[in-house]
Amino acid sequence: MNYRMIGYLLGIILLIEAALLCLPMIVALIFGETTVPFLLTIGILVLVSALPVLFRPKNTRIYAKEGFVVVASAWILMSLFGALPFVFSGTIPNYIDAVFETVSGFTTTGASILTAIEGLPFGILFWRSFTHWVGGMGVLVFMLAILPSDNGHAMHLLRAEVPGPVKDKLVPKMRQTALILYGIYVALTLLLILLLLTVAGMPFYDSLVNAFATAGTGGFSVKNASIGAYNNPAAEWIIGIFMIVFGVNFNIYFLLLIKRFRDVWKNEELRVYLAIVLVATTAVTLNTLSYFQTTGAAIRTGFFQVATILSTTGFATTNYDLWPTFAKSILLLLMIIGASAGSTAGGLKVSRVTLVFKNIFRSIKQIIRPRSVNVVRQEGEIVSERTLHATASYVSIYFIIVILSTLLIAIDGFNLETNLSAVLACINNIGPGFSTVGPTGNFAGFSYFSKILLTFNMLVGRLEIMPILILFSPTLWKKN
Amino acid sequence: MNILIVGGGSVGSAICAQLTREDHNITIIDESAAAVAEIADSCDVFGVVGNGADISILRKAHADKADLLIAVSAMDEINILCCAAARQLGTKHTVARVRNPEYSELMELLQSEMNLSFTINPELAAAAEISRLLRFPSATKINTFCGGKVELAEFVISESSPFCGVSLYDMRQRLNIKFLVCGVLRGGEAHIPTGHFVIEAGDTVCITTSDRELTKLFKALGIYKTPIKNVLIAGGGRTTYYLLSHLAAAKISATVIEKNRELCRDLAADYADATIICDNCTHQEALLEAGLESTDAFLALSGVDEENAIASMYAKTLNLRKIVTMISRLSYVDFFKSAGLESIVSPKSSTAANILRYVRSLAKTKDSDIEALYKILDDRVEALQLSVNEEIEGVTGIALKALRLRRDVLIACIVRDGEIIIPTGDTVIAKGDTVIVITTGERTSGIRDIV
Repeated sequence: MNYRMIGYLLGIILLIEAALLCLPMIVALIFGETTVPFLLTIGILVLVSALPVLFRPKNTRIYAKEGFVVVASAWILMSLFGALPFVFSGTIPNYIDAVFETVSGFTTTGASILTAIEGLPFGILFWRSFTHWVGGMGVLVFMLAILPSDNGHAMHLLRAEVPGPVKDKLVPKMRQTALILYGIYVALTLLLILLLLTVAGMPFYDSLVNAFATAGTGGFSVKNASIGAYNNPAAEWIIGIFMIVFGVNFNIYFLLLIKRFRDVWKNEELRVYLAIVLVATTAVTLNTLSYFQTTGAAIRTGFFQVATILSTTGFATTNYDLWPTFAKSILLLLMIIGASAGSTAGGLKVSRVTLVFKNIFRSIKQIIRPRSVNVVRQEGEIVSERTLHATASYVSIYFIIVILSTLLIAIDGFNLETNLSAVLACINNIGPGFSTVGPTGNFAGFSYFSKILLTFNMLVGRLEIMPILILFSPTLWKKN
Repeated sequence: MNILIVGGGSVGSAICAQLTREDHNITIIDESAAAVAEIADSCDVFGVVGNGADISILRKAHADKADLLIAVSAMDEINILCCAAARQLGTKHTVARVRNPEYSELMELLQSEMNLSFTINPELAAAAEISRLLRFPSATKINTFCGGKVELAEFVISESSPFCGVSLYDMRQRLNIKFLVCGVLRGGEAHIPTGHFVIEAGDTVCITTSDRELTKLFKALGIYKTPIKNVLIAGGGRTTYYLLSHLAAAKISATVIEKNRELCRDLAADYADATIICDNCTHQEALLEAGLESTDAFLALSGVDEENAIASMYAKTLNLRKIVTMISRLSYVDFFKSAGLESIVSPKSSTAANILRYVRSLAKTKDSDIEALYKILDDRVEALQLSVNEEIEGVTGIALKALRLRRDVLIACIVRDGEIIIPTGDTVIAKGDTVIVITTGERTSGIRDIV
């Protein structure tokens, strides 16, 4: 294990975090608030990262295991330090609560322990929403985009951070791939801010923070009643559509850029993803029609709720906890599916779910005709047996973690709906669940043990299980 | 540049590793998903799984926007086909590896007809390298510049050498020979030495000098070995085929042991002077019967690296004047060097260096050309032959001691009007010179890059 290189890379990441913290500090300055919490945190970050960064190791070779360790520890460290402004400012005095909130931000979950959001300092709320934007595309991808990499082993970093069953580059050079990904991300975010400002007429600060939360498919809002508080149908439509947009694989946008429209049109995952949106919206709207005065409002609210859950954002425009069980069950199903691979969203990912189903059909075929040879295809290409195995084991580990976590947080005594939906909301990086943790509720009532467990779930979900599990597996740390 | 490489074997991966370091956009195409995955894991490249001669695969790899396609798959025919297809799609330059001697004439035809940029034949290059080693058996590696005028020789300093513990400056004072030590490999690290550098036992030293001076130098160092008169070759593959014509020209008598009767017949048909024995070259008895004990040099050139290494290690116990081992898998080279095999010839590594030269010369400027490029001292140092076509500000007309050379660069030799000049501080580079540059850095593609 190349500890010095791991230290170096982690140092760089913490320095990037220090730089990112300057933005909320500027916001605090503009609103005339105290900048001390940010200054203190930046100072600590620079101090901690100075030593490993100044002494750049000679041996820069890293392998797959170092890649996993860097990614997993980077996310944990960023959250541990990113929580400091909340503590220093007194917004969230308890450190465990602050870490929960920060992890929830970076992992684009949007689960909150805050009971009253309105009235908190603007700078702090800006940082809270900005963590969504940073975590959406991933800070390591950002590092790859700005740092010249002198070896190909940086691929291990990209692979560990970008979600999806199969990871590929857009162009031969990793750095360019990272630049293109961030370019698309920034451009789409700017477009969203612009639309919210002009079409929806949202105030500048609100446009900014809501755009960050939408782009990262996070879901932190600066209002107690989330997006519903604005009572602004235009904003609901824009945010609803953009949540879907950010849940699409970013490769699709790259294909659009290089004018390969045929490939976009034929993309299987995109078609399935949009079909799910359509079917789920229709079902939810029909089921909840009686709750609204106009059909338009029913469609708008139904679509928004489907978009927010499927894209794992976690905004709300209504308290869907009061909806009929069928509509709620659809939302629960969408929670697990999640959006597309290679997007900023969480969940199992559409492509992984389709892969599991295709594999099941193949197994059935194989049992009926034991000597038949079948391959599984996705996007027109044969999926290797290795990918199929990896997908199957991923889904099993996922459900094992969900079941165990649900069991453990049950100690707190909440009802089953709360517990299961809290775990699903965290591991799929959604945010709100049902009942106590529903769109109008929050996670404040859980014990510290449960909060730490749910924090772990959020990280596991964002990094797609393996990096975090590997970090805590004894085999990694054995000398030989 | 956008470069497509077809074939992810040992040559393909060696080129990939080198070219990514030089910041090109590489796409690798291979039919084996495992081979592609392995390369994509270690290099920053784009992988495409499929047949490189399949138009849809080439399209997927963006052959239309590629500047260069390098076809180094195992099959000559596929390589030629790849290049033809890529040209049709719009690739600007193509390079094909073609090994079958029967195609050599065809290639000349195709080069003009199909606009194939150039072809590479690793076995032909390896045969040339081996024949050079036989001329100077004391050296572990020999490369030539300027059509054979300048020799770049590597040899190991033994413990009994009179120059152990002597600085390079003193060494040159003591010997009245024109030569320049341009690189030293010590403990796996390459140094470009200054005059104060002290030679130690076990160092691999690389020098530039002329043909005649090299013999004198080896005599002075006490490591001179008389030229080889007869050789025993294990393996009758393509390298042997090409080598035999070199040997015939140098009047060296050759005995070849080859298991495959067909190959033996082909060799016997084309080379009447050579003795061809059909036997298993890994059998000790067969080797001894063919005269291993009495031969000057033993060349292990079969297609199996391990067999070559084992036979060479056995031959080493017999105190022959020269043993040359051919190793195809580049990752083996370090193993066998540590096991005491000194002269290792690798057709693949010279191929990679050749392609590198071509890629760099595509990016060249008008004022200078790369005429040759070799990787020396375990591929850690580059030796380049650069021609100076024009007056260049900051380079020509300035004494070397006043020239602000890059730290990792050494001017090893200057050839002016056929005369070899071993440079001193007062030497001046002029228009029309051919300059031999040694560097531990990378990406030298013209004379401008040395400052």
